[in-house]
Amino acid sequence: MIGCNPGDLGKAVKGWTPIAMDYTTSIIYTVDQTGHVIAVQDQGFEGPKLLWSYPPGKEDNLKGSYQAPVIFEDNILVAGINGHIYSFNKTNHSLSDHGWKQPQSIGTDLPRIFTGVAVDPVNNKAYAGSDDGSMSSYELSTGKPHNWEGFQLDDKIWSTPLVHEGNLYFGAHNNNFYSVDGITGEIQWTFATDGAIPGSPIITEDLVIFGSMDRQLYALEHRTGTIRWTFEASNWFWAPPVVKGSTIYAASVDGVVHALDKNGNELWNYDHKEQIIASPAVTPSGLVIVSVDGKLTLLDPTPQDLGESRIKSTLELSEKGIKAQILSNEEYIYVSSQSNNLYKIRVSNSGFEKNWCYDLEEKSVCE
Amino acid sequence: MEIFTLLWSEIIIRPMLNTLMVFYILCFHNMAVAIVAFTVLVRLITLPLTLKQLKQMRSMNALQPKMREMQSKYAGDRSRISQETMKIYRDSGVSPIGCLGPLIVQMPILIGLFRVLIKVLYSNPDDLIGYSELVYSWLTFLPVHQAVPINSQFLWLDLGAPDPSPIIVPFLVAATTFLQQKMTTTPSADPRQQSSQAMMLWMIPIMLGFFSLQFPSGLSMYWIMSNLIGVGIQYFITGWQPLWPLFPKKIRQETPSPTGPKSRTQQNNSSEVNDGNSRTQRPHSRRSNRTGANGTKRRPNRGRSRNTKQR
Repeated sequence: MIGCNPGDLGKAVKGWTPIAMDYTTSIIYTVDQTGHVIAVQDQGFEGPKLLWSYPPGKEDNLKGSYQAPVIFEDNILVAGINGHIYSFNKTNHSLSDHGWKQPQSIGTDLPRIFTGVAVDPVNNKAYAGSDDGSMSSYELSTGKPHNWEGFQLDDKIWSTPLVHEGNLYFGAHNNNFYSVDGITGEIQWTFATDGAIPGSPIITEDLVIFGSMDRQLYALEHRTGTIRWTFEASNWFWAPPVVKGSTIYAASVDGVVHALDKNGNELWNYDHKEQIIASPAVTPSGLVIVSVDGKLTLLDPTPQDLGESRIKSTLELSEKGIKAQILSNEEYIYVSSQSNNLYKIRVSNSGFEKNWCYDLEEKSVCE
Repeated sequence: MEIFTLLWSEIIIRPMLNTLMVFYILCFHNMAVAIVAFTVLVRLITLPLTLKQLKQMRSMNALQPKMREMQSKYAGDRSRISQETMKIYRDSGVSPIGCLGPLIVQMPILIGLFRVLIKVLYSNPDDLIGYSELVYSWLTFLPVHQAVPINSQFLWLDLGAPDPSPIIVPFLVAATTFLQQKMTTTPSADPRQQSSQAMMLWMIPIMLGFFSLQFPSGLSMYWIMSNLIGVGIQYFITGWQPLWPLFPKKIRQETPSPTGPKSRTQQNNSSEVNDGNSRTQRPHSRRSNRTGANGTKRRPNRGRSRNTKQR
């Protein structure tokens, strides 16, 4: 008992260093392991350059974030583990000049936020869920809390809501998946699974697809919640699936990547044999997967059974804790780690080529 | 270093986590009952060690008269006392560190359980992801993978968080630790050890009670149950005798009173004929017998009143 460090109880909560990119300016936004929002510009041949970091001092630290910031027009929206939603002016990172900050609930003991922020530009709304089971709504432009009659579940919400046609779609730890009217907060339909739903859904055509900890990938009609098909894997689904053309790529937590057609039939699978939390990324050269231990693999997405020859290339990053979503920008991917490093890697048919690494904590280029 | 992490994970964490989860499923998704069942299992596994420890303690009790005799013989010569002490232990086949066996086994279990509870009663995505890594993939006959999220509520407690009250659980941890120690501590003939034993009797329960203010209450529940089982085992071997008096008074160096109901010499004689194996033996009574060690005497009826009882 003496050997245990009581501080460990809250020690791990620093987020995943999630990243988002403004493709017009090549600026990457992230929340690092020290709880700072950081803007780094990819200057091409000149490498990365730090633009700004928030907060400048010790006050108002976000304590990390698990889901990628959202870039909307002139603002960056971030959900901090500290229980606040931030909307930064992306040019001057100001919260007062067309930006805002709101606590997730009233009072001093704020619930932690493990979801990302979802925005609905049509209805001028932003949403985020909380560890205490609440889902909050804000005016996107001002941050004013929306007058929902307190949408509150009996269990954690870690699934970032997806906004589609004014409705929110998200899962919760009470094993249910919800469709909620974004204006009124009324539940449109619920769907019960046999496991918690920590990951976010995607919508493709008329289907909402999400994974559950009951090892099933579910495809439901997004308007009615009627089940269309399920697919069973050998372990939990956490990362949201990715759709490219008519193929759905979904990775289960034990490291098996499944390629499915739109009816849920498996086309092929690849066992990476290491834990995967981040969704696969589709690049012009193939499908990139990254395991938590930092092993990147480029796969040939051809539907036929290719066996071991499906692997086109691998790259070992000497990192542990890669759980955040990979960003892809044409022939490049950006990968961030819980060691506070940000990588730019070129992906081509000949394999991976590390372009640069940036240490977010030291604010300098790393090896 | 990685090899130690791997060994720690494979030998301690994974078996414990999977066993606890199997109990959780078998106990109708009640984590508190699962922890109790797990504690019983751990105590059953360590029962041979516990019994060995108790046997050692009884043997050491039996050696006390011999030790006192030796201490009075070599009073003032600490190095000789140490040598002779070891010789007595050796000749009698007693290992003073043999008593530490169950404690040594308990430490990795406690630390492991702390880690396991954090994984199982997760509070953030990283802990939950860590859980999935530790579940045995071959354990398909029970839905261990699907057992999360865990129902961590038990009465007023969230087993993954400290007691919100925050008095009840820390008090129970401290009280049961005190009882367990009181039942199992072998009274030493050495005056210095006597005082450190008296200090430990209080310090360890207070310290653990303090720790449990910050640890998950599920871990405290394990500790409380383990203590109660330990007390129960001890009861079957020695009865409740070691427990009384519950709060021994502090040792005081005082001059003897000529009006005491029973002289020191009488007490010493009565304790020396005790072989230490009797169920009616009161181990702490020997703490008062310090005459041989330092040549001082105390009033028998004050400060050490329990030593004055007639047997």
